[in-house]
Amino acid sequence: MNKIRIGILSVALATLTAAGCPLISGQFLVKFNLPTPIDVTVAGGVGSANVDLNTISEYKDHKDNVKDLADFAVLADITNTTSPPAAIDVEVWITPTTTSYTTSAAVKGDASAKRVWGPFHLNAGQSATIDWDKSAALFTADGKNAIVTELKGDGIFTAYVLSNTSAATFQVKNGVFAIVIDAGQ
Amino acid sequence: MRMRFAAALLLLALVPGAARATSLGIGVGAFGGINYPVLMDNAKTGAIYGFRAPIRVLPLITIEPFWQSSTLGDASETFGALGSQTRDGGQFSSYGANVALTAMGSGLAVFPYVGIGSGTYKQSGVSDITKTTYDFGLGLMFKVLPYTALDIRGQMDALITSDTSRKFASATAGLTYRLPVH
Repeated sequence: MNKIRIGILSVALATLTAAGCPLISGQFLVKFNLPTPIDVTVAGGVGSANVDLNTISEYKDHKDNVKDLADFAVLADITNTTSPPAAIDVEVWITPTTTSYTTSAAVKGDASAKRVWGPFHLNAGQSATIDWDKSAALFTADGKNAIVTELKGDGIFTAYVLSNTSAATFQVKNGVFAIVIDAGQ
Repeated sequence: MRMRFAAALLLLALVPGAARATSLGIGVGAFGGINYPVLMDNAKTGAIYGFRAPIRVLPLITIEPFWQSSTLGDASETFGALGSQTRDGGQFSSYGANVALTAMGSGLAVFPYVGIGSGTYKQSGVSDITKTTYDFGLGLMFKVLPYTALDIRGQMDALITSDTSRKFASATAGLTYRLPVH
């Protein structure tokens, strides 16, 4: 009788695993450190970072099982260095392949580029730390789709920080992408 | 969907039994405890509380509507030179019904149970998730007064989000007031 019960349980567990069970899943934090500092010193310029998530063990461990994105945030210390002083709005864009654009016009001119985060507002001369909660709220719907595509793909893309404000210059220090992946069997 | 259908069938099967039962019982209870988010890096352990209304429809079967709410702890992470950052752990709430074996027994009772309901997970900065929840657990009930029992439970809740889920393991204690009905 016990053998029958164990057999039934084994078959049930095997079925759950083989069919793909939502219970066998989790939300895992992937931290990708951006180069620091990233300086945008020319109006209309951009700062960029080549991102390879495969260098992060938490991503490699779950890469084949990524289903969705639970949370995304850009964390950094950012300073508005615009002269003469003026308020600016900062955004993060990505291109799905490795690119090397130097102007915001060139980034936006790439049909495959997506704005994934922002705008983050800085008053004239302001320095701010972008905190996790506020940053998560600045993640865009288009950005989610673009990042999910990258997470499910090769995990390699180029990120750009730029501003829509003409004459904007700024510095980004200690930047991190905090990506919470939703992975399951 | 099949789980919902099975739960509906079970409820339908129990209704005639309830009408024939010679020893029905209803009760109300409140509980509180701790709730641990399972494999969720962006939330930590928090408090949980809620209400239950056990209805014994057969000597060994109790149907138990419930409502519960949990405020999860904030997740704190260190991000290199940027230092420590905190993420809102969010709130999980759900309502539904459990089916338990031997709940509301006299004296000491040990009872397994399963349940289905609707749950919502809210976290600042991201869209709310409202989906079907499933739960299962094991309870211990001690009669402490003629109509009152201490109810201690370990429970697992799963909020199913298509291919994945948000899971929570809770340990709770509560009091249930039993009102016999003849």
